[in-house]
Amino acid sequence: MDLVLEGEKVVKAIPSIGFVHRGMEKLVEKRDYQEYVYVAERICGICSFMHGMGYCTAVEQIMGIEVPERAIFLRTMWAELSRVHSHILWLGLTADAIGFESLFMHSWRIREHVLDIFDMTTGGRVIFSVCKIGGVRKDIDDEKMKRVLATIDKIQDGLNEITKVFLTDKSIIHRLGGIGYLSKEKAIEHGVVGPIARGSGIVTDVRTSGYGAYPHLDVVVHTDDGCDSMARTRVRVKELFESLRLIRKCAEIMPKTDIIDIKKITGNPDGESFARLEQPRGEVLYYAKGSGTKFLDRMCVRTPTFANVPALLEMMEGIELADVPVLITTIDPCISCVER
Amino acid sequence: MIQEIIEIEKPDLITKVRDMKNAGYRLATICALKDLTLRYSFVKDEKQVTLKYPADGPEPVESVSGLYSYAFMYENEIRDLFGINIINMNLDFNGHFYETAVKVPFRAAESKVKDGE
Repeated sequence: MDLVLEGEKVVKAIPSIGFVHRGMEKLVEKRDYQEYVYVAERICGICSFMHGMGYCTAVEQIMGIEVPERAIFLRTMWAELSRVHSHILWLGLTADAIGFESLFMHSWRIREHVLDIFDMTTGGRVIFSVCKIGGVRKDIDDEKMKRVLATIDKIQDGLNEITKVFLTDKSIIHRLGGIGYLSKEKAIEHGVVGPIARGSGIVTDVRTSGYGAYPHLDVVVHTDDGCDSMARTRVRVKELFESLRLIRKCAEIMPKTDIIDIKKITGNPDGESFARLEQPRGEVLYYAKGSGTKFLDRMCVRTPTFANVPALLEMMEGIELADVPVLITTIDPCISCVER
Repeated sequence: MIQEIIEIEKPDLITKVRDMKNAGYRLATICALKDLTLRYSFVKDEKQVTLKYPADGPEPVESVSGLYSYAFMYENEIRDLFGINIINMNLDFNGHFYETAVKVPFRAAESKVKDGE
């Protein structure tokens, strides 16, 4: 981000990205469409699972593949666990940006429990490669599911403690309140997505569009009319508890089948399709186009951070230089998503 | 989710995009393909409409950033990666949005960078 300053005040901000553009979209020409799932997952290390899921969904739509019901529930569960892990990571980073180091450590201590669940259910802590075209690679048996739910209770207890601090501590309210104001009208004008849009009072969440197992889970969309960094914090805190509820409900109503994915995928994708998902940072859009060969013609991903950068420029103008790091943190930017 | 793809003619771009804006659609993404067609994708509630626009030929493509201010992100990216000439952007990086070792890498048949470059 390039800033023009007048004294300590920001008068203009210009995005400065593209120094490490990785050209991952171009790799569809070198990796066949089934192998590419592993590449898609590496776009980002935080919402890695949802990148794999978004890519698989786009290809499955082109090929007309029906994903087994249990696999849909498992995908949804891992997606919500990713949201919990991402939001807690964000809480920690925000505390760190403010200089509240003990709160940062407590946040990341709780986040470790989510990574432990990933480890136990998939074998990986960051990138777990369980999503595949047509379903998932691993199941969660009853014994493991009990341990997952017990860990979820532990996470909820920890979150009850730390979120109270995030919502009521004077130093946090002082650093976040009124900073990065983005009115509802401006948020619409800049096309923002995710918790930033919801923190400006816009009711938007792709999960309500009916993908995954969400139609069975009655997702509650949390919004806040505060329009500032504190409002975005409140939204994420509410979303954390909502995600824990969704994980419990997933476990409760998940169909009890033994085998997840028995289908052998045959043929190659021929056609084009978009897939929209709600990642922790907001809407992600996957576009895939195939022409009947094992290599896709094009795969394009529009990540939420990419969509939220223009609004950040608006929010930057007029703030103090000392507030810039905190403000950038509150949009929860993911540079690896932007430099995909 | 309902998806619809509509093919449009070159002179109709701004008119059609304005129609989408007036109908309350959000510009979700602009995506370029190797065959030099663009996909302008719009979202409203559960509906997604994509305009398929042919960007081949010598004439430049008019920017839609006058209608959707944030379109400059997609348009600068497309120009840098695909070399499609898009004019009248509200924030123009003049080909320096991405600093890539290979010029217009997504149109290059082989984008491998030689050692030492």
